[in-house]
Amino acid sequence: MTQIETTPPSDTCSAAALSCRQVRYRAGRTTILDGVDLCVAGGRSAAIQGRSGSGKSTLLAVLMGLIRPTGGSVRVGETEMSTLSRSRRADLRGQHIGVVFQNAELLDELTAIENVMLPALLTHQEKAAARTRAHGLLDELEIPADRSTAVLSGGERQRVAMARALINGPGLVLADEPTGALDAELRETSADLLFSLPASTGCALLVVTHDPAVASRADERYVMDTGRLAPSTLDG
Amino acid sequence: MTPARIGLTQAVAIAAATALVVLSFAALVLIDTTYDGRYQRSADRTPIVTVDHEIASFRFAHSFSAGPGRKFSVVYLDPLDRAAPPPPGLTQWPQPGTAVVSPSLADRVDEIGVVYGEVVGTVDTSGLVQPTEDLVYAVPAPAMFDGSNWEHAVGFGAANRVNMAGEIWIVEYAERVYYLVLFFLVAPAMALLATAAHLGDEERRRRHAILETLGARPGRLVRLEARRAALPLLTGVAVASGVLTAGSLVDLPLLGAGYWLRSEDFRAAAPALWSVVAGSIVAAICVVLVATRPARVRGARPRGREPRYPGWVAALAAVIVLLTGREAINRVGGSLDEAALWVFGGSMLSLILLPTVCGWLTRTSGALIGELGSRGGHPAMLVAGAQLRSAPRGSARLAAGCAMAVFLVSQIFAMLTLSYAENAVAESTAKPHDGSYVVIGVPRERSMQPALDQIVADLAENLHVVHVATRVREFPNSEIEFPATITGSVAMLEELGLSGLNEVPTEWPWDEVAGSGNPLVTSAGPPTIAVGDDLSSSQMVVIDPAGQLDRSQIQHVLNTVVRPGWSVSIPGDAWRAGALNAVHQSRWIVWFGVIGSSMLMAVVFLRTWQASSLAARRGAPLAAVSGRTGLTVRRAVMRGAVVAATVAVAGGLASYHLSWVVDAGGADGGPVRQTIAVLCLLATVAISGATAHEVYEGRRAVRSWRPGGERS
Ligand SMILES: Nc1ncnc2c1ncn2[C@@H]1O[C@H](COP(=O)(O)OP(=O)(O)OP(=O)(O)O)[C@@H](O)[C@H]1O
Ligand SMILES: [Mg+2]
Repeated sequence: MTQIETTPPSDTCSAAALSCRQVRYRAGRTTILDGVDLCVAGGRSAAIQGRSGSGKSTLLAVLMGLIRPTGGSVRVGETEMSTLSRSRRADLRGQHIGVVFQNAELLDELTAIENVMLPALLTHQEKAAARTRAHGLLDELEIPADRSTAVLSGGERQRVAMARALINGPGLVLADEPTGALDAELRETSADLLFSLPASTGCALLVVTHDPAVASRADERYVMDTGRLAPSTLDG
Repeated sequence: MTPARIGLTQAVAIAAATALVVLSFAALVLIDTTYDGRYQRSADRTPIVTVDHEIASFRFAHSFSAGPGRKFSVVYLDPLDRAAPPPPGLTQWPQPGTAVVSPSLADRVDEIGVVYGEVVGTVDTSGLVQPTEDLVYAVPAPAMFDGSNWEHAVGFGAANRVNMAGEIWIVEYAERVYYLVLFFLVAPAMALLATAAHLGDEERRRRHAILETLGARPGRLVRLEARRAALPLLTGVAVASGVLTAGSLVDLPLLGAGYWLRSEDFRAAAPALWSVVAGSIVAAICVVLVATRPARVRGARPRGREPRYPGWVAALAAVIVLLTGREAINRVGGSLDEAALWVFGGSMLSLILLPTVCGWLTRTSGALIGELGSRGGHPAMLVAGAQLRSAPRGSARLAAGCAMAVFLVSQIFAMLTLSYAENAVAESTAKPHDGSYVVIGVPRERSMQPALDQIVADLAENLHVVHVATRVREFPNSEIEFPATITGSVAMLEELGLSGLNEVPTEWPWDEVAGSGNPLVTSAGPPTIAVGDDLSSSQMVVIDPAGQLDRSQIQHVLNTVVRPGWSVSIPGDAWRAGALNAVHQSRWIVWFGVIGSSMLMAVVFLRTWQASSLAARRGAPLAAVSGRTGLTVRRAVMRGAVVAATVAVAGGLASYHLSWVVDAGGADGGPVRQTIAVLCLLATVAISGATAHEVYEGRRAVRSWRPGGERS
């Protein structure tokens, strides 16, 4: 993860923390992604807006290596992701990518803090240190650490997911509707946390959101429309 | 259903299933040593025969005593040297005029005492092939005549493994038991383990998806599942090992089979047993790992793979059932084993194809219901149909489990029907002669004539006694005939309607004693010992016209006149013994069947539980949002109806071909058909229970459902 953190902001895509070129994805006969070009440098943030069903979540799934694109290339840091094996993609994700999902996706059988610690434990980090960091993150997001995940509210779950994405200090953070379930005040604090990351850790941040206020905080803004990505024409 | 509750249920189920898998594999190994052990114990007590009377330490003779539903071995002993070792299981030779019986005959000591001498003790089980064996050792008191049927022996432990004690060989060939164990124990236990491992599939799939997103490699997920399953697996192995260890220390009864597992058989099998335990652990681990392996990722939303259930497999299954059934019927007249092989092979293939058949039926009827619901605008039908069509696996598995249980149990009943049919025929042949006449085997030695005369004199006045000798006559064209000579006093032959005989009487007992169709001649005079090289059989027939013959009384007379007594029997005894054998075998089949179908029922139960919980959860949002909880009920009922119909079609049809075979085998296939009907009904009841559970869970899920995404 280290080589990415130090990369300075740059507009040449070759040195970016995340770059993809002509990414296509087809499921059966439907084309969901139709030649997406995108690049986010370390220390920078980007937001993608777009109509429901336009392919935003699918793009994130491709970028995090959950699914292989039908065509095109995806690079995370120096690594070409689309040719890696499933295991190597999992490794890359664990070490370099933090993920926040549209509907949190927590493991209910674990407590909040255990959920947050998971990525650290999966990458064989020391348990005590991981616990300390998880505690710090949860405190910052105002979530009781030892509460059972099953009883958490939607907003609390979303913030636990956010803490979980940040625990490994990733070089790239991908977030799908991270503020969807939050009230106005929490949305502000959570967005503050997310968008302070590029500056404080040097990571690249890509946020998919329907919320113009959240999108306007990003350095670059894009719009997704039926599988094609274009720079946003709206000024935020 | 919380993940914790599913996890606990799964752990218990995996532990139990693993124990059953290990034990059922152990059973395969134990068959061999058990059979070897039985041969060995039989050999240990088989006298070592000698022709040199000088060196003999004892004399012996053996015979059977039979009655309705029971047959036991009688071994007459005459110790020539009382210091010589007695047979295994006895500490000393019994005194003359006394008998020792195996523990299982304890309830018949009075009757045995009258015939064989006072019962003074029991044979220790170490001297029995089976602890439940029926065996009498009798040392007869000196009688008027010493019999010629003694054999001389120098000790016990003949190496040539003669099954002299005539223990009823419950299932004669070890190979048959292998099939039973494979079919009724190993296969259902493996199915149970796979089902247990599949519990919580939904939760597991979600867990895998999340962990993989967080950076866990697929191999990591496999290790994770292996660790989750390790404790239950080890617990199951420990339980099974405990049972096996107990079995090698003490004799264990196989409840319901009337059979004891001998500890020495366990000990003899120890090396093989433990290597099989090790092998079955590997098999269990493989089953669990295959069931819990990470799913292939197919798109942004990981979802469970639904099997395809191709229609041509369903058609193929129907053809196989038809063809193998017909083929088995064609072979019923010939070799029974061949017919059985066809039935067995067809059954196995049907069993393998059954899940696909059930899946195809479920999916097709789902499509039909969905179409009807869509045309008529019925939401419950639309939803139920769509669920069955797009995700038929849960319902199809449930139906397949029930259908397999129906199939297995009806298989058992088919075998039972065949065995009991044999038994019924034997009984109906033997019954009319109980009390009418008995046959006494007569030695072929002239020196025994005084003994024969004495016996005739000692028998009650009202009894008719004749001697029947059959001889072999060979014709130049190599045809063979067994002409019989009936010898008796003129008055007796007249009373029996045999004087001046010139045509063959077809009524009893002559057709059975002399063999029907053989020429009969009569000879006036007292019953006489028959000798000669062409002599085929020499029997004395005792007839009571009043039908009040007491077999024990006659045996008692024989024992007081000759030592050892000649043996009394009736034609049909042998047949009856064969039928008894069949009954014993069917008891085994029932035992295996009950265990096997209990495991299958557990499979059905677990799958039902899993499927209905999932369906309830999936249906909750629709019902909660629409405010129509009745929707949950109707949807569940429709699903249940489809499953029940699938069981009836698949299970019923697959089982039905058995009843043809039973019909063709000469037994009444009616009971088999009734059994199949009853089982289908029971399966329907079980499925109704599942539906009720789904309704209950569904209502609960509706009450606790909150908008804001599915939670596990
Ligand atoms: N495996 C798949 N097979 C077929 N179609 C799919 C598959 N995955 C996604 N789609 C379709 O692709 C389109 C894009 O889906 P995606 O989840 O990316 O949308 P989205 O932009 O994230 O929408 P939302 O803002 O509502 O979350 C949708 O129309 C969806 O139905
Ligand atoms: Mg989306």
